[in-house]
Amino acid sequence: MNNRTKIAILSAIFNLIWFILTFLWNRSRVASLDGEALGKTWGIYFLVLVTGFLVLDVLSAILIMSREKRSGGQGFEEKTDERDRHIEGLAMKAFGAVSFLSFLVSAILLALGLGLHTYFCALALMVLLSGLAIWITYIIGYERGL
Amino acid sequence: MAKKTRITNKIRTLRFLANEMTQQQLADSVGVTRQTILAVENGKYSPSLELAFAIARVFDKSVEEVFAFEDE
Repeated sequence: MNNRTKIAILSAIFNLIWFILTFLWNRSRVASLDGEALGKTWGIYFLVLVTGFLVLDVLSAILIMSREKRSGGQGFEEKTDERDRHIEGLAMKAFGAVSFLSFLVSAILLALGLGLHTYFCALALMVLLSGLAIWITYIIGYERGL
Repeated sequence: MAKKTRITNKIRTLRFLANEMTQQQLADSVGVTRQTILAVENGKYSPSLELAFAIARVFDKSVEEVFAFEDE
């Protein structure tokens, strides 16, 4: 299995776990809030969520590449080529498409009058799905071919 | 199941005929990773025109002798 596939799988798992943990943590914090306080609390949650995703993605890469290096591979010196750039481009497109669609769904929910809480929940899910779209594209791209 | 591209190639045969050149040796010659050569050989990735020419040049062949486009 390609190292980038391993990083993608590990990152996707880490992101999913981080999302569930932070979502449960935030749910109890926002339960009784409204208006500006609700927006502020969700804002802090989004910062924690995205920062966690970034840290976990870097951690996944460090874990896999260090393991690869120990088993005699190139580790972080592994070069990238046109195929990597091709898959990266497709991953960014998938990220953009999923972000746009998810944001649209969030906005529709808000327009339907389902409330700010539902809107923020949908936005949080959007962040998760957009991140997963990148990793799923990587997995398909490297293992199945795109 | 791997998705095959419509570009077929004879890289594996040509490597065998070129003193059993390894995928890594070919990859180093054309400046890509071994995984990319493996993906091209297995029809999981269609190389750029530049890479196709570079691969053909390693075997001293024309692009058409190495790669072919499959009709549907």
